[in-house]
Amino acid sequence: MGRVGSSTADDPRTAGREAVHAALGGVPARDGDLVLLFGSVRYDLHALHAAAVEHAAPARVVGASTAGAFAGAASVERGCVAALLPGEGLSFGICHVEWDPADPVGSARTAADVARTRAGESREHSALLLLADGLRAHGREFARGVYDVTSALVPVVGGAAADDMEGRETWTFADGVARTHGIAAVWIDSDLPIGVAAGHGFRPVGCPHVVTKVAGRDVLELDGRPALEIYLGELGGRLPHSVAMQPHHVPSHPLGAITVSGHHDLFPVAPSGAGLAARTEVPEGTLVEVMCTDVQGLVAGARRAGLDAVAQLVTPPRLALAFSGVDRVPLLGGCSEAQTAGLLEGLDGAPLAGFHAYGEFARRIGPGGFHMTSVSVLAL
Amino acid sequence: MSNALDTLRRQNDALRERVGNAERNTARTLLRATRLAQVISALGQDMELDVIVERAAIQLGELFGADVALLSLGPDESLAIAGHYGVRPRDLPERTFGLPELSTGAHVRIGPADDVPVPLFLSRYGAKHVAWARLVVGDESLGHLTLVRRAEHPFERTDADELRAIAYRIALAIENGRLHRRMSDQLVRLRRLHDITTELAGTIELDTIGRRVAEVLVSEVPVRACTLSIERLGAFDTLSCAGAAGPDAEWQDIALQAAGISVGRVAIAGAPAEGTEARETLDHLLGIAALALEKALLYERSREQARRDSLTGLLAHQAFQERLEGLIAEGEPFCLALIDIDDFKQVNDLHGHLVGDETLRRAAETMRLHARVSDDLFRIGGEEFCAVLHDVGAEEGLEIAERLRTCVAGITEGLPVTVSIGLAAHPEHGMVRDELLATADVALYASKRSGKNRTSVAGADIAPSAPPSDRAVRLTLLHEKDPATVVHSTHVATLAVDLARRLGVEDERLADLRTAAQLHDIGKIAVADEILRKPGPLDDEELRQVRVHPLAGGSLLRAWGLGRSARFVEEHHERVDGTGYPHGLSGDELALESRILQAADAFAAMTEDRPYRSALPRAEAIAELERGSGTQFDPAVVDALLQVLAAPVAQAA
Repeated sequence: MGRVGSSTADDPRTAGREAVHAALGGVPARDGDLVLLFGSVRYDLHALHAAAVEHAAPARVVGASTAGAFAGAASVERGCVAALLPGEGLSFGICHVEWDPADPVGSARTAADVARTRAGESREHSALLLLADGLRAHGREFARGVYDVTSALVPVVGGAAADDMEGRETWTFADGVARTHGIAAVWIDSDLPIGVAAGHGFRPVGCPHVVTKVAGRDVLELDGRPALEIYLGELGGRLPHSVAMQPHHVPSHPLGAITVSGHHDLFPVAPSGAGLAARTEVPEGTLVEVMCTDVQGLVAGARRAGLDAVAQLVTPPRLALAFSGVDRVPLLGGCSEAQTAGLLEGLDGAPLAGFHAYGEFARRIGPGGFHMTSVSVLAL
Repeated sequence: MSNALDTLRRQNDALRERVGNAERNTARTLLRATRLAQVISALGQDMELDVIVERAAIQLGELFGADVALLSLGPDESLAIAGHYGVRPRDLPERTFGLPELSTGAHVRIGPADDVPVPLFLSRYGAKHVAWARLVVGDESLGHLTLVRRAEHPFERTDADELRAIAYRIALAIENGRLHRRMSDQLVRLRRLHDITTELAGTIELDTIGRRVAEVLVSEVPVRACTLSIERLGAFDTLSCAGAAGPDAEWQDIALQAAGISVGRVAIAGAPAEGTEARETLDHLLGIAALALEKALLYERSREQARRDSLTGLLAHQAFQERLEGLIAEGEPFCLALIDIDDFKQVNDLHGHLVGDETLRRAAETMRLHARVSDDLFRIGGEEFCAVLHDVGAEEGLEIAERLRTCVAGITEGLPVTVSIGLAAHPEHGMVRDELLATADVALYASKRSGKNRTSVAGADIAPSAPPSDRAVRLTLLHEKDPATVVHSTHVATLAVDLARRLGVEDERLADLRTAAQLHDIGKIAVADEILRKPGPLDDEELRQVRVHPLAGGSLLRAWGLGRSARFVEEHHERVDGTGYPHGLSGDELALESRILQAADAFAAMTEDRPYRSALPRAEAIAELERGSGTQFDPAVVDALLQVLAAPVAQAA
């Protein structure tokens, strides 16, 4: 059974040691175990990571910086969370690289491929856990790259590292190294099925619209008309009160791109001139709807993700990892415990660790692989 | 009331649902149209075939929400994966695979995985629904497009319609990509052919052309092996070979013709079949080869003609010099027979040049008929010939020379003609060219002064019945007194004649020049030995004695009836700036032959060892000539001499 721990100590070495110690539960880690570490950027992350590595040895440590984390039902703000994944019935292969700005797809592909090779693929089931730099909005490219390695057979799950909404640097940790501009790929081989799922809890309002003109990440026109005009039209003519962590940010009403399965991939947007600035590129020709939600919807979405992940297992989950879009926090009234409670409900009370991320990776069946304002779940 | 409200409510909900469905259907239709446009736009951005197929698979997989997309090219029974999405590379077949169950029927099929066949290597991918389309251009099937969904989201009929349209576009893009690749390959081939054509057009060496053509046929067409032969005088000589053909190779023999004229043949193993691009390349290369060979053969013939005397057909002076140099370098023994027609000036004076020419032709033809096959005959002057007798010493050489002489003397047609011959053997009578020529020349003079129509061997006693002439005696004395001077004179004579030819001096004047050159230092017979051999600088009195020799030589030559040559000898130490001796003549006051003799004498002297100094290096001697141009030497003569020295034979000397 996995365990989670946390710490809000000011000293990074203390925080790392305390969180790992709690996750280990006083039992020494073993060779073959894996420790996940999610830490705030208020720490010297080199020191935090080094302390975690030292205390977790001989288990290996992989992690990322966050915009807040949670351990079980508890939110851990500006602290660090650690989770122990025991190695029984599991094999891990880890690859931590600095991604190439000229070829983010290739960088992710390489990381996944090396991780896969190192894991050995000696067990029946596999999944790829991906932690990546979340600040430069290449999540879709990373998802595309790892798909060349995982193919349709191996699910992908993970989160884009965050930095407490500072917008400066995000970090990934693995192989004893903490780096910015990183991609940490963990290939997990398992004797038993692994559950991967995602959900968000948003629903569409109004009519579908076609993205007819973009410029980089800016959606300029919908249905040939100024995008903001169409957007406001669906919202009753004016922007809702912003509850965002950032000015002019409207996390409550992202654009939802309709997929062939009828689901929606969310694209958080903010007004930008007569158009809408999205956090990642929205391809021209995409059919979108304006989405909305509420606390109940968000909690239900998270619960649904947990349920879907557990449904893929054949035994009760030993540990669950969750990656929640940072936009959900203000929509939850600044208190994410309700969502965490919903997750735990869906996960049947399994030990849970996770963090608020700048993007979420999840793919099991169907297209896509990178999401925003969603919750992705890994259940083992 | 409440029932009515409930009914209205239910109707409202139903309407709302219908509207929602309609909106969704409309949205899907719109999505499909934009999807089609996206794919077409993406396909139009690249022309490289590999990029087209790789991108197409990824685009289609993402746009159709498929877990797996495959683009396979080839016939149904032998398909090769060209692009894939969502498949592990190790699950892809290493070789081709077949989907024969899709060979007949519609070009698009959708349905559950049980109804639409998928390749065996996708069996573990949990396919739930499959969409398949054939890539067709005209009547040609290029391959297949396969989409797989693992979720329970069936492909709809509208998906099939869209897939048909996209498959057609992809097929067109692939066909365009192939055309583009073929055009690129053709362009590369054309550039290559152009480079080869330029290379061959700039070459006139037969061996180089032959070697290059053979190499190119093997590397560019390609053929397995080839043998190139050229046609000369009705026979074929092998010029070059390339490649390696096995024992079971089939050979084709192809004629090489330029403007309908045969220049050679090429035998080819592994020639490409008719109607193929490779065959076109071969035919083009053979055409170029024929033209290049024709040009090279023409150059060869022209060069050969330039080496021959047009009147007699014998090899000319240039060829003689080359041959002589070559034989001496080889080191094998041979004899040199200098052959001079007796009293030929009288033939021209009394009977005219036409009769004179005919006499020369008959003499040349007679000698050619009676010379050995291995011997070389040359015409080296107006009435002078030379026979190079291979692999013989003086004794056997004398026999051959005598045979030639008697055959000429036996000519009954036309005017009677005799020849005098001077024979010298290498290495016995001369190790180097000038020495050998000098000794043969002395022997020729001996024949002339012994009564003509005879053969004299260098170093042999002159026949007692022929009293020695004054000239022969003085030459002999000079030879005994200062042998180097005789060798030097021969060197000067050769150089002076070459120089005169370069300046366009007529053949009739060359004989006098040669005589003057050979005898220009005859006046030194009167100079004391100790002065001639003094190792250091001469004092004024000694210089005065030496400077008498041009006048002394000139007087001697006049006494011998060689008036024209006498002038050249007298003037050979004058300078064009008037500061020479004995008379201080300048510029045009000096005969051209005198100016020629000056320069030739000076260069020869500078490049020979003297008692008072060693020979100058060739480059320094040339520099001295250039420094003296316009003062000591006529500039036009210096320029011509530099050209002569730059020629191969002169360099070999």
